[in-house]
Amino acid sequence: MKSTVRFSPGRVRVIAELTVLEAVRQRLFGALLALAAGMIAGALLLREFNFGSSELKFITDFGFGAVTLFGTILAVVTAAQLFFAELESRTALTLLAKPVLRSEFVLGKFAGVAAVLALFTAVTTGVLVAVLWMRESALREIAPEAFEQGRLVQYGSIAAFALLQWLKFAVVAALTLVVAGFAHTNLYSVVLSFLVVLICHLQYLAHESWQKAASGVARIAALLLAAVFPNFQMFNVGDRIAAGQPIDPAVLGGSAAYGGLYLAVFLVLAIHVFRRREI
Amino acid sequence: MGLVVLVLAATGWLGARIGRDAWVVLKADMPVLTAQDVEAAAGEGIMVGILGGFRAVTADFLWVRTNASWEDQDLPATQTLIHLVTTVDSRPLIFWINGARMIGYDMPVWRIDAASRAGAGMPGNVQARVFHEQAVAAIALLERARVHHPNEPLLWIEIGNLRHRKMGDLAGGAEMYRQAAEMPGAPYYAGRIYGEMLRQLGREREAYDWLVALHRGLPRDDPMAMPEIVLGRIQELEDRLQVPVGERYRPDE
Repeated sequence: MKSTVRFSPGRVRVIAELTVLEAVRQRLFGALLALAAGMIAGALLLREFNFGSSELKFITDFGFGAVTLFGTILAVVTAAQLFFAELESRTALTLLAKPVLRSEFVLGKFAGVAAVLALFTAVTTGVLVAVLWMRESALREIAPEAFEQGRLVQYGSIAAFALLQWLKFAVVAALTLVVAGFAHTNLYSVVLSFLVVLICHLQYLAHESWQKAASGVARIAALLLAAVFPNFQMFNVGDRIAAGQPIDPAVLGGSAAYGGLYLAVFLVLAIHVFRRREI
Repeated sequence: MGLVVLVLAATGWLGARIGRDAWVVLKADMPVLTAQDVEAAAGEGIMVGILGGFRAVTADFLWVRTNASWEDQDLPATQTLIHLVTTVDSRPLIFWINGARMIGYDMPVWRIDAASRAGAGMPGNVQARVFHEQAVAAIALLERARVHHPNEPLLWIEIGNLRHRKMGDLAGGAEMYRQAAEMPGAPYYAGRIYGEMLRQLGREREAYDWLVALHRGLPRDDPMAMPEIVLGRIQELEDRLQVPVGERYRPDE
């Protein structure tokens, strides 16, 4: 029998709000947030470990690394955990027995996770900006001649970095929902998603290997990898910012459009897979 | 599953077109990893560092490892780590220059020492070949560095030193110094040393003309420029070239 229930953004919002509450109550969110923020602040203590680049560049790079690493972990684990929590506690059955579409359930879960990721990105980026501002101000007093042209850190670019990373985390979360739709356990879904995320980071190498590969089998394997998996290095503007190079808005736009495309596709796939899943 | 793969492949095709221009820019900052680099990075447990950010700190960690291997005179490990550290983070010049010095100046000595410890002393001609081989390897590293830092005169100077001191190629070394001296931001000593190299090559007239032109452009208020040293060299060359008194260089004119 065909469902006569119409899609409701209101129901999506309610599911999203509950998802946010549930995620924030989890210890994992607080632990990862504290760990990332602590690491960023701890960059000040690692200044002596810095050989190659200037101190502010080192702190920026270290901070970007912490945001990216812990954000990715949070995206995978939270999306999988919150999805399976509903299935394992059978609340999904109760929920979907009411006039709630499966697409609303998936989109609500995703929106909730995306909001949590936005909170994580905002807090960690805020800590990074505070640490950089503090250290830059201290350095300005020690060596004012180095700051004759004004502040060295491009705080606007850091905000752009944060936005792009949030988009990447959202893509990772949507990808995890696709995997979770297939998977039967939370653990399997987390492990497989991390594997896919790793492949997505190495995808650009597969693309190059495809162009250079001599043997037919290697060429086909590399072509498949390059075609099927998104290139997560498209979101890697951190190196450019840490090196003090400006970010062209066209580059940001291109990366955001790329991320938006994959986000939309992964969400459609997550809904498609979940619709076919037996609960 | 087939549908999912098909949709992803179509998305990949579309995404590559949407993000093409952005990728051209971003790719320039990415470490150029080969399969061997990925293997070595995985072996060092630094894949997360390379792929998930932390490039500077990963490179610093690898640099500590490189120096530990250097202290142990472990040639294969040092060479692999130098390659890895410069691949992970190509931005800091220190990795390239110090890495090249390890390869070009220290490693030949290790190889010769290792041979004598093994009871097989190296004849002079074999030692010379070892020094030559290591200098070529060091220059190859610096050539890679020049791709990442095309406007950095210190790399040209480093290649010049290796050619001159380790390969006995004074003319090749001098040419590197000339190119370095003509680059913006070159240290003052590059021009001075090029003049001296020309003199050693027996091209005294050329050295004289070069040093006069150099002296004219040197700031008088910067102690690093050392204009009095350059002037002293000019006067020595004027004596050797027997430049008539009336034609001698007068800096105040």
